[in-house]
Amino acid sequence: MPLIEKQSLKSLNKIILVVIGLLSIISLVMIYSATSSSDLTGLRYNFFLKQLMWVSVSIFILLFVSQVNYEVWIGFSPWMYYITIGMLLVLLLAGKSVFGSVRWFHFGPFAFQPSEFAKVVLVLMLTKFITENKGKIDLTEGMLKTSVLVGVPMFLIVVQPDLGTTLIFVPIVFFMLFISGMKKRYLIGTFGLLAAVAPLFWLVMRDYQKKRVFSFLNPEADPLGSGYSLIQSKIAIGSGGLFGKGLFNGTQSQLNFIPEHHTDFIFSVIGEELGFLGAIVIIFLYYLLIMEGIKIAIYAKDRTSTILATGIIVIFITQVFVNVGMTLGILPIVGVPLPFMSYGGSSLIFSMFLAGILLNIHMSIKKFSS
Amino acid sequence: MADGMKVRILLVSWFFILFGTCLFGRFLYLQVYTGGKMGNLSERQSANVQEINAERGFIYDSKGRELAVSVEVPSIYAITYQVKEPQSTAQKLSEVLNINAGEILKKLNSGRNFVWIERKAEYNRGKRIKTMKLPGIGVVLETKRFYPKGTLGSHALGFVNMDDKGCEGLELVFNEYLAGKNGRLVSVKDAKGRGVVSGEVEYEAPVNGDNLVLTIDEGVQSIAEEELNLIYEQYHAKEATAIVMNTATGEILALANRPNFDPNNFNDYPQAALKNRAVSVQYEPGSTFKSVTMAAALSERVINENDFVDCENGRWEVYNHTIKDHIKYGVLNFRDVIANSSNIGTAKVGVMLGKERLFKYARNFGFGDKTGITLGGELKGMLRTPDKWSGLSIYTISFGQEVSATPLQIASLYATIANKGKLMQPMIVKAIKSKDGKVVKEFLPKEVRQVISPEVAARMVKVLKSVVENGTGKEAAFPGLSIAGKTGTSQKIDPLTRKYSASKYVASFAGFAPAENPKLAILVVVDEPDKVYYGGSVAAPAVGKIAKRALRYLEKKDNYDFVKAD
Repeated sequence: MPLIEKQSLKSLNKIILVVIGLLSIISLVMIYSATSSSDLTGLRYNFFLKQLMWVSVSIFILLFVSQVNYEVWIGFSPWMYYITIGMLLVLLLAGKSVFGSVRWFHFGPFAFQPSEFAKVVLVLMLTKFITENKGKIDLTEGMLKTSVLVGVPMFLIVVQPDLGTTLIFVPIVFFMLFISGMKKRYLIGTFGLLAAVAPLFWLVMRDYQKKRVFSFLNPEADPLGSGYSLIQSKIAIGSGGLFGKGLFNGTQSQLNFIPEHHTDFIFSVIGEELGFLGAIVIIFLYYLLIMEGIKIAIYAKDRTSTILATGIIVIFITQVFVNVGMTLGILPIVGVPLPFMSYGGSSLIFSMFLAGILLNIHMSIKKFSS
Repeated sequence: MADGMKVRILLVSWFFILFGTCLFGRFLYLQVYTGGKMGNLSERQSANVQEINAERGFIYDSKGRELAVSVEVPSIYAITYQVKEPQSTAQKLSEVLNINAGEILKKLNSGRNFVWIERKAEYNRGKRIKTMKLPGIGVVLETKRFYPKGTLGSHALGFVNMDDKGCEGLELVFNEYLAGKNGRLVSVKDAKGRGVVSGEVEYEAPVNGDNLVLTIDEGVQSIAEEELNLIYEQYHAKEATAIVMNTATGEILALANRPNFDPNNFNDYPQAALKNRAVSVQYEPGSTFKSVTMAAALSERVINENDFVDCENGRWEVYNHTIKDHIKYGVLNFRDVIANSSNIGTAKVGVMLGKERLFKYARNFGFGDKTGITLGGELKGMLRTPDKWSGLSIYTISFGQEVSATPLQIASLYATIANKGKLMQPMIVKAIKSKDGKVVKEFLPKEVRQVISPEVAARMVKVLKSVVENGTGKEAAFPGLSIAGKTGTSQKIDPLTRKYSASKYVASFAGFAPAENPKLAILVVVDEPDKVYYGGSVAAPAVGKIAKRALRYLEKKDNYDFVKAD
């Protein structure tokens, strides 16, 4: 029996496939443009080639995952959860000495970021938890359990320190609990409490993170220091104007005025080189993806798949909004990649993984209804 | 699926749409609304732009003689990241330019992409450096303003700053034409300020400025300056002005002020020396203004040249105020009132006219308004409307007090009388021509209005001639010169007491020559002469000499070897 049946490939959601395909192509072009002017050579610095490889691998993953019943992943999720926590602990305790970083496992020219994995695991784990505790989540006891479940990986990531990924968890948890029918007073109560203790974060925040918050509030205070990225990104996007400066012609990115322009600030390059029209086209592609996801969530065959689909959509939209909002200067700078667009294997693989689950949920509706 | 869940999902999607709208709005604002500004910011930080001055247009006198020119001088620069061996490069440059090699090396290692090694250097040095072909070292030709005649005509010409931008005078007024369009030398730099080695240096050639052809005649200007200088020094005057106009066209042939300055080194002169008094100072014209009263009186037929006026023996009480004459006169005919410059006699004629009519003629001669000459900083003078006059005003304004005028307005008054009563707009620029000689803009003599009839003008010429023949202006007379005009001696108002000063005077003489067939209107104003203060003694001889020499020079039509002083 072939691993993937021809028949089931045909029944995949075409819109999601086309959107992801287009985003991947644009991503490769933009990464090529953003890094072509670099004078660094070798595979380690050939981001285009590496991303091309990741795209190929991750599309295979997407197709594979789409053929595997999503319930399998939910079943595996406790294991994945423990593995993630184990990896985060290893990084935290020995990362500096062994891998030279507390965020990545380095393997030759490649690097793996467990916090990306953690996003996926959290969605699966939370789905399992909510489904299994139907009607109990409302109780204070259930709420507390959720907090521990989510809190442990969040804590391990926030102390890396990776504030961006940590913050992404908050809306994911919030929306998944909301969809699952949690009473509003519990939800508001809990997140209100969270908002109340948020200032305590200030105590554990590193200086550079505090600076980022300050510089978000007033970037001009230190235009060459902490406000630099924000200002340069705004200049890049603004200078793109209606039609953009054209591929490879963005002075802001080509001349390295924007930091991290192939990863977190890839959208600045898009804004500068493709202009308002290019930016809006890409935002529209994300819109199509999200709307298709919402449809799947609504028509999903059971509560479990609705919650899971919602979790996946929320991961996508939150990252898009936080990342693009950051490049536009309406949100502070946090290290959140733009799904399917930023350079980075871990982010891409797990985004494709989630999209694969979404495709599978979609297929299950068809099978269910036919 | 439970309906509650559906509702919640829809709620969530509305939330998402709100997010999307925020992003869309922000894109619209940043890219479409502020896009241009951001584009400039982006270019500014990535481009290293060096302006290359365009060749500034020349300024010529009416006969094509150069008054202001631009000379090409080489400027040597370095694109530092293209310099291969800074040490030896600095050494080689140092040998040619005579600059310390250490200083050059410091510039080359300054971290900036573009540095000037020497700007506006000596011509041969630039040429030698160009032949050396040192990597990263370049030579561009820049222009530098040069005024070959030094102080001559400086107030009309004005001057430029270090970047060749017009700051005063014609250089300022016509800067737009003279300046041309600067070229650019653009190199690209990255975020660390490093030059992009592969990036080409882009050269945008400058567009040269247009030339200006003036109505000023270098010969007449030289004569006026010489004569003005003589009296300025002889009387240790505070300030002085001379204007020579073509009576038929209103063209300024000469315009000179003292103190003056050399526009090549304007920085070495005090601010006061830079002021173009001919248009930027207003003073009480005194008796030279009596011609306005006379013009009005003859035109309105309130009096005839031969009608008698009682000059009250030099003292006349009006409104608790005593009007005095410098010499006691009894009854004089009107011609002699003007010839002897009797204030009392003129005031009586003024009263006969009434304020409305006197005001109307003063206004028509252009008082209280700018002449519209293309020189910067022109003042209007002061001529109040009759409703603001006091009872005494009609008396004093008749003989030139309580009004003020610029020297140019007075010169223009006498040019108008000489031009058969037709007021021409004073002009100083004849044409703007491109470098290849094409006329870009031409200025033709412009008639403002017929102020008095040719017949009245002719009668006035006779009266003004008698001023020189047997009145206060005798000292303007020279053998072989026929000249008409009017003296002016006005007391200055002490700024402290606000009363007329007993010791500070403005001496002036305004007239035209030849009297019968006027060609030139000439004014000389001397502010605060010492020793003598009568206009007839201080200014009239200078006007006479300028008239005589300028007429001879113009008739001979020779080039620059104008007639020397007798």
